[in-house]
Amino acid sequence: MIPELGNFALYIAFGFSLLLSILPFIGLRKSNMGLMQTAPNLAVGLFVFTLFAFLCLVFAFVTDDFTVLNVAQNSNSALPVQYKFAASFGSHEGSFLLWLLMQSGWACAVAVWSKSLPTTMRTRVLMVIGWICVGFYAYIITVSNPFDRTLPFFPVDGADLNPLLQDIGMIIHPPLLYMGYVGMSICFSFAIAALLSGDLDSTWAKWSRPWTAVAWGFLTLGITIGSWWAYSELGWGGWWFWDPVENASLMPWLVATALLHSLAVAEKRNAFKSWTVFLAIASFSLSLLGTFLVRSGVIVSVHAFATDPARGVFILVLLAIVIGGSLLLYSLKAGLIKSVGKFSIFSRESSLWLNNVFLVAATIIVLLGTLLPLVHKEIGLGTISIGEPFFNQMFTYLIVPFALLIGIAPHIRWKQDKPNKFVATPLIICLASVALSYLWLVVEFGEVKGLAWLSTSLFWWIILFTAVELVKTTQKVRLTKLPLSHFAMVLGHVGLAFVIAGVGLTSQYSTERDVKMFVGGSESFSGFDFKFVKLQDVKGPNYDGWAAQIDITQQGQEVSTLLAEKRFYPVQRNTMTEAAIDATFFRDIYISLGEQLPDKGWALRLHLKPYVRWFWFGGIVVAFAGALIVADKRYRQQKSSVRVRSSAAAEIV
Amino acid sequence: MKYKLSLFLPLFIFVILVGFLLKGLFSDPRQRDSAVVGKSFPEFQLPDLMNEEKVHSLQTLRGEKVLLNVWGTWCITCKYELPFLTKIKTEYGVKVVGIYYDQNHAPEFGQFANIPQIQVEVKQLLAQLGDPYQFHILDLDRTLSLDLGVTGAPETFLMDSNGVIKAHHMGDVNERVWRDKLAPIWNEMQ
Amino acid sequence: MMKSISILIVILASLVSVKSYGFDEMVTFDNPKQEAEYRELIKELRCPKCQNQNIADSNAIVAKDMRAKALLLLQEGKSKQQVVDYMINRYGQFAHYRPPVNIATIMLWAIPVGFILMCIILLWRRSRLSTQVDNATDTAGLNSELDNLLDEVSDLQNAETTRNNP
Repeated sequence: MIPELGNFALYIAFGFSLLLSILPFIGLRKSNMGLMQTAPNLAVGLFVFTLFAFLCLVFAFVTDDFTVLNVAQNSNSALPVQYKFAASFGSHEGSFLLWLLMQSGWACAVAVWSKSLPTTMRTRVLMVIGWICVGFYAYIITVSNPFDRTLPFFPVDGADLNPLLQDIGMIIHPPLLYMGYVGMSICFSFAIAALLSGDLDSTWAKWSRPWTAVAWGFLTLGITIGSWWAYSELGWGGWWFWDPVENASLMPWLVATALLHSLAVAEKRNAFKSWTVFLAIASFSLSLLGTFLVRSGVIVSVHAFATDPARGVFILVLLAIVIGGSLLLYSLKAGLIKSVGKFSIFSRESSLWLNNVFLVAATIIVLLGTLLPLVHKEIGLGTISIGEPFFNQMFTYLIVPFALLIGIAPHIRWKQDKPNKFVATPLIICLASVALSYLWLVVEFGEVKGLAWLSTSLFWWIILFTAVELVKTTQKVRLTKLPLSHFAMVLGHVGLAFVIAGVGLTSQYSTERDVKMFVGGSESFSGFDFKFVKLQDVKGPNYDGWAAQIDITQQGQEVSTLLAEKRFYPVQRNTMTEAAIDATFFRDIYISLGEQLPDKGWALRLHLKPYVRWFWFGGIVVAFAGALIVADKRYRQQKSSVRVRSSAAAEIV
Repeated sequence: MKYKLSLFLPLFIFVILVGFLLKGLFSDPRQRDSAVVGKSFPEFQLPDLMNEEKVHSLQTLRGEKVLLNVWGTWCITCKYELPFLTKIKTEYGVKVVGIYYDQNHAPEFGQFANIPQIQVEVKQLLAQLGDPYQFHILDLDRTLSLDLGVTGAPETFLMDSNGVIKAHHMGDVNERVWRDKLAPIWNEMQ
Repeated sequence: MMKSISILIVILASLVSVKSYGFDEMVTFDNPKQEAEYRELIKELRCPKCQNQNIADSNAIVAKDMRAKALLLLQEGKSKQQVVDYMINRYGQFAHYRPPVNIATIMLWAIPVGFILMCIILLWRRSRLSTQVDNATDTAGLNSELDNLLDEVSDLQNAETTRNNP
């Protein structure tokens, strides 16, 4: 009964999306205020019914309703309840419903929190969201319905959730990531609405900036958590593999980062406007492309969902309409946009332009690396692999000018500045960074590796420059008077500095060793002593296993006691390695338990990963910057700066 | 209205991309070309599965075109192709030789394959599902398989009488694969 | 029903192939250089059986065999490139995560570099067109970020005033 209600709610939501895409359109055409006013209500309705459908699915999972195919395939009665909840978005169908929940949630948020927008603009934005929703809802009710039944022959128990997904990461990572992906549709809708109306002055940039910032913050957090999850769950200590699915999340992030910066220029300086519109379209297009890659099976990936060509074709058609349509609109209309802001070659505008260039170049690299193997094969040149060596090389080249720019750009004035002001300070900071990091590496690791030296120098360069900037600014303006968006910039840059240092240090100084240990035996590795104290049985709710208790000491001082587990999940007959991690801010000790060898010894892999936490710490700091932009009062009180336009009726929709 | 051509560039690129994605949708992403086709079959010296005294080498294989099938009793898909391989042996007179691929043998960990037991299992299985093989080369440490670019079982090679590899198929050989891919090559071969 | 069964099979098949992360062999090295080369190699070589994993992270038999062979070749004194070539000879270009340079793959480097150069030229031209920047507001004493900040602060105060006196 409940699944039928959920199914019904989905159909109603589809109806709402149809109305949302049509009624406001007619309203705008006929300048009918009443019809325009339906948009926010329809958006709220869309959300309410989608939420209801989602709750019905969660209910089916939590109550083990194996008459629902989706539940039978992805859950099991022995599964702990929090994972039953996670399983509701662990499959293709369920995750798409989560996607829709987010999409309608964003639409609802726009309806509720943009009352200060001119009615026509708000109506247009919601209408564009409605157009996107029609496609998605049609997809879910035709080829990907999560409420399909197994009746009349339903199984006694379910096939269980993949043990890899039975982790806290599965509960938080997909919602965060989807919030980010789908959130890109909001700045996209603002851009399309602006193109449609022809009303392309800088106000749309100001309106869409907080929305972009939230979505970007969620995406940042989603990617960061995803990386941490892979690290802690997969058992091999990797945190980024340049897998197509990871790349699919990185591309919209890179473009959205560029967008956030160019929105600032468009808003404040009335420049780069047509470019900004393009970035807004690109960020959502890349989110959609990522979804297509994950769900169509076009590309071989570790994380791919089970695939079905019918779905692939449907999503591709959807992709072609949404992206193709918006790019066509862009090609036709963007020529009309006039960027009037003037600036000289040495100015804040130029440096932000370079920021955009590097970020988009990075996106192009990821896009090419992800899709070229497909093209290469289809044009008959054979199968190739593009992976870590290529991406690492390109990103190393790219990060150097990018990080140098991050340090110096906030010091450059808008419009025009004098290059000769930028000789002494950069020189001092450059020398200081190089010397500081050299000292750091020598003292801590006793050996200076080139790439680590480079990354830590860039770290200090950004940190020192940011500090100087903050000190100079607070001499003129009191700290408490500074707008929050200024702190957002500071945090964003500092966070990235931590990411750069973390990646450089952990990739250069991580060590690992495979050892064979007997119960009671000891090993020493990288200055730590590991004692295999005992092996105990573990009995989980839906698995059995062993845990090796390892006591770690350093020069006789107790460091930690870890339990490295090996779990067997009987339903799917999977063996999982549950790594044990002793984490501090400066290093991780990471132990995974391997097989028992014929002579009763155990294979263990010991890792020491210095500064690996800095990567995630940096990511979280960057995400927090997004929250600060939204909290900035200027964006919450928009009415004062909005010039209300009433000529909407005369404009084309 | 005046249009700037450069603004159409993203659209143009996107249209091409969609073309490739559509094409990619209808081809198997895991299908790959083999690196060993056209090369000569690697040299080897390996015992017979049923009689370890007897040693096979490239010389004993040469002179006649042959289908080499990498398989093992542990491999489920291999069981599905046994009846079909038997059929092409009897109907088309294809010479089929097995390369026995064992997945448990790992002397460096002190794991050794139990050969008498494998012999019993092989005999039972072949009696049950059909026996296409003339003999089996026992590739216990999988060196021949590595030289052949074998990724697992089952895989099938066609070798001509000069010892050149003409085809390499990953996955099971069934009616469709034989008809569309392997038979045309086999019939052309010397 | 048939369709759902086939989907189920696909799901199961995909699960089996993702499940095995790990290791179980003990590797010893002659010297640290060899160890470093070995670690690099097993990260750069792709497991031909798996979905998308390097041979370091995969437990597939072929990945184990490739690791063992890579180590053996290094111990025989082969260079890293020779080991890579050895694997490519057998498993194809697919087995190496660094693509070969040919007419198609050159795009991987050419397009990003071309894009950056094009954008810098564009910037150069654009800013030349507008060298006549209006200098009226350019009060030399102010700090770079400052004029902008003061702008923002006054914006902020405006916002507050409007809220208090609607």
